[in-house]
Amino acid sequence: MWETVIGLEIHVQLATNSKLFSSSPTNFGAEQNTQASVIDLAMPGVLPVLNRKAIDMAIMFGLSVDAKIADKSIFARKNYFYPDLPKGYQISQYELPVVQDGKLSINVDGNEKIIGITRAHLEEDAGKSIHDLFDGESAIDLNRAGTPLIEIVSEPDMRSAKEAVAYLKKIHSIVRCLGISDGNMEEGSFRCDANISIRKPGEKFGTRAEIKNINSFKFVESAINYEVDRQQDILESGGTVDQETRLFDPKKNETRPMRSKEEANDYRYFPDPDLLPVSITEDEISVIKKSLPELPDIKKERFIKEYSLKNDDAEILSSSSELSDYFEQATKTSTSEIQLLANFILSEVIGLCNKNNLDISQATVSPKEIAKLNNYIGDGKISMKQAKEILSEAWESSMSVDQIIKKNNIEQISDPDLLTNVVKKLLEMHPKEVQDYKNGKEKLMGFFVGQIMKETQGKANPKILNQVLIKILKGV
Amino acid sequence: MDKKTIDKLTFLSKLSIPESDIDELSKNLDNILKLIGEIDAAPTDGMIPMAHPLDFSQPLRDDVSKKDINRKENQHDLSKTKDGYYTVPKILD
Amino acid sequence: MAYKSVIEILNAIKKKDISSSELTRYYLNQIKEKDTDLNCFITVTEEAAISKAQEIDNEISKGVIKPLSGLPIAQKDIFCTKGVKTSCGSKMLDNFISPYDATVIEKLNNAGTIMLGKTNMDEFAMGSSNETSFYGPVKNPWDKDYVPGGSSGGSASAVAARIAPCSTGTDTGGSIRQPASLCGICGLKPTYGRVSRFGMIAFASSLDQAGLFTTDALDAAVLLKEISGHDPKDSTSSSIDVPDYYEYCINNDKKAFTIGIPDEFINDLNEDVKKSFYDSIKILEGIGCKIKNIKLEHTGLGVSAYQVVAPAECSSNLSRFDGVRFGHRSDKASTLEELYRESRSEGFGKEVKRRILVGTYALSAGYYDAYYLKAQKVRNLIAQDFNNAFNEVDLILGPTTPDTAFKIGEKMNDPIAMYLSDVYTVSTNLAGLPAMSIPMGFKDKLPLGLQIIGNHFDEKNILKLCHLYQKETDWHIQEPNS
Repeated sequence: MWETVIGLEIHVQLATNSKLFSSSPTNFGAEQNTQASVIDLAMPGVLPVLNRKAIDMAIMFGLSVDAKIADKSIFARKNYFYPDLPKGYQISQYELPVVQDGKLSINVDGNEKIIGITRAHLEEDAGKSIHDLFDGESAIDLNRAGTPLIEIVSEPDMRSAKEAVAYLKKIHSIVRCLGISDGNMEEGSFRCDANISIRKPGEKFGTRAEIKNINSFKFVESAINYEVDRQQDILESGGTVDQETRLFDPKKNETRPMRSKEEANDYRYFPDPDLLPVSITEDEISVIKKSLPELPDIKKERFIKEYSLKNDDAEILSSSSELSDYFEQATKTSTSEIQLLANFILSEVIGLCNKNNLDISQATVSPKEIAKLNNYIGDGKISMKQAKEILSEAWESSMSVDQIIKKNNIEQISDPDLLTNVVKKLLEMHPKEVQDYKNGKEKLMGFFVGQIMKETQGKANPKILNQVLIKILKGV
Repeated sequence: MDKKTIDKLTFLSKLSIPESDIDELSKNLDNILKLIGEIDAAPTDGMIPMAHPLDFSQPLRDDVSKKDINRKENQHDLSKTKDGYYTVPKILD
Repeated sequence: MAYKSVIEILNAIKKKDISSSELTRYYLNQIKEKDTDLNCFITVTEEAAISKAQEIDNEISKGVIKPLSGLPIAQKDIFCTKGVKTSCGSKMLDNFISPYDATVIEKLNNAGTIMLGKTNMDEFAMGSSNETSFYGPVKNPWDKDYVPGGSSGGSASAVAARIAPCSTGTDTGGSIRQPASLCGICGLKPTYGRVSRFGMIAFASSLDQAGLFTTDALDAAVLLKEISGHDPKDSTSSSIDVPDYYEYCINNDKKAFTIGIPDEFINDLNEDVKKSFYDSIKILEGIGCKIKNIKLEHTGLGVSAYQVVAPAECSSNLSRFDGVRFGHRSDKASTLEELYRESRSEGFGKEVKRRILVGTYALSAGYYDAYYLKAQKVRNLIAQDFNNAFNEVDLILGPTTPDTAFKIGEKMNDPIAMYLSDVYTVSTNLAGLPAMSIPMGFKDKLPLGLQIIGNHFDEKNILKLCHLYQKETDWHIQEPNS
């Protein structure tokens, strides 16, 4: 009955060496106020100078979402007072942002949908206020003040929490793939605010609430779901939704109104007179375009085409450059069907990474080794079960796959002649069961397989074994 | 200029004007607004607002970080800091 | 004092006729003797000056001569000076020791100058009389009941009183030229972007420009070269080449300038000012200049447009003065809101608060288009007027101010009257043009100033014309009776 309308504003911290308007370092975790220069501290008389890399990164982002890049872009002052904002204004962009009118496609439950990106602009980050360090006082650390951000504003095109998460993840993978941000939500380099409203389908947009402080993909879903319920309750009982800013509380899993900040603030935007219009030429844009890495969507299509991968698998493998690199490295020495290699990586390697809380880039087994392991399965040298055990051991130790196979004498018995001998010996020992099988008790095949496995300590190649058993049983 | 507007302006600019000065201030502001109101009649149709006197583009700085920050010098006024943090009365969120 | 100009001083030091230490001590003594009355200085940096002078003497004895070796100079207290109090004439920064040097300060230091101290000024450069300073008014050395002009009143008065051979100032709506005119000295405002604004406490970012006070136009030429040039720390600073202004003034043959006199500048002039002005024109015609009447049609809108743009930009620029990281912090605050309001209200004077409120209004929702945006369009109109004029003339001439200095206290209760006295100067700031004021005579024993406005980056011809005028006149040599 109710349609959810969601727009997302994502603040992405750019991975530049220095800040947006000063040469201060941008490293995370430095001691308080040791990365705040006279410019970041808004000392009297200081002036901003724009970081070239930040503009380049913004252009890279714009190109990767099919957006228009401004040929002239202006920085504006957004005026308000807060202790983490030393100048009493933030240098941001208002009219003429660097990027406008982009779009990207998301895939939810097998359906493709295009989400519009209204604009993306550069702005400086604020410092940090810490409220629980000193009694009765708030502590201000301005290390972060001035760090470059790109604010990405979507059209209110999303209609469900799932779509919102898919969009968020897509943007996340793009900025990481481009190398313009590490996208670390816990450290605050990828922050999401959600504008949520509900309406009866066909009617105009309802009043929206802005939800802040969403710092994980999981919380996005929770926050949206809670908020939609909340608004639904209000409207169904005849009330009206207030236009307000709310904070998401992950402990209580709810949103609540923000107490301070929003008292009818008039930001009085005007072009910053200390900065001149940024000119961006077609030549500059094409140089950047040529140097763009392969984006997730393009990569996905290529994976499907080149490796005949299933759509969903291609989607996951192309979503991060580390994972796609790992996968493609493995394909280089693969002798099996690539889809099987993909399956193996997706279930086993990713599984181990998740279990040990590691990123794929920290995997302790190399793509070459994984390919080898998968090749052995295909050759019949080892079984899937054995492969999983070898992988487990290789993950913990520093031994190679071949070393482990040799050491544990794991090698699968795939030689049909060898297996024929073993099978014949076994069948001779169980004449009754053989007779029963021939009389129709097909289920006894399992018994025979089990016995052979016991006899060979699990090393018999199940496929070959089956073939041999059937041949003998039918033949003899 | 009415008190409500003055209140809004003092809120936005974080100033506090004592009651006794409000009348004089209001009068002064009215006179100033009258003076600047003269631009209203200026023939500016089709004119571009001049944000800068000179027609140049923003110079760009190479992305190199400098390690020349001296917190001690910057925090010369120790009455405003504790352990290197700036401190203000506690903010309730 | 044997030396009447910067150039004479530089030569004397170079030839070792006088040591830097001796010269510096001379000026420090002059300040001790005369400044209690005049109140030109907020801070006198005696120890540092003597120490630097000794350093310079050491260098000179080793044969190291810099362009301005040994030149004592007074710096307007709007320039950040490392390790030295920088107050901007305000209680808000009474306790502020700057952790860095402004580019202008750095350049002058590196060129060998010796800073005598920081001069008094209207609070945050807002004013035309140096009466809004937290440190009290500055007196005009020609008559101590009169204002020296503002906002660079201290710098102007110090040079006029000969207690400093030269000084720096800043000009946003006339704050160098007007005090130069009222104090009978030379005051130069370069083209916007000619001199770096890094370290110059911002009032109105798109109008502010650093400049010079001297007794002689050639002095200004020498000094201008040293402070000009592109600064990578100031995005609005220009990369246009810096000529050798002094060399141009002395060696270039140009004399027959075509000079435009705007009708709008001479209507409503009082008789004495008119006479001095027309006498000056005759002198310029005498050296070969051609005079042409021109129109700067929209001059009348200048003050109004200025009083929108400047307060708007300053309302934003002054937000950093919040009592949190430096400057005045109220001890009456128990919440953040109180901290802001009380610190700022205690720290800022009336004129500053007025301008912040007007500026906030001009930028606020619903008013932005009618005020700020409109004023920026008027700027364009005014700039076009000048553009058109410079197609016909080389330079533009007019009186700097409608009248001589007024009495201390006379205009303090009438902000509008104060603003209107900027009528001949504000347009040049709005258009970003260079201009200089030089002495052109007296009325009732108070100085009058002649303003020469040039095209963008044409300081060399302004200085040249002033130099030619000063070869034929001796207004600039007159000194106030001690």
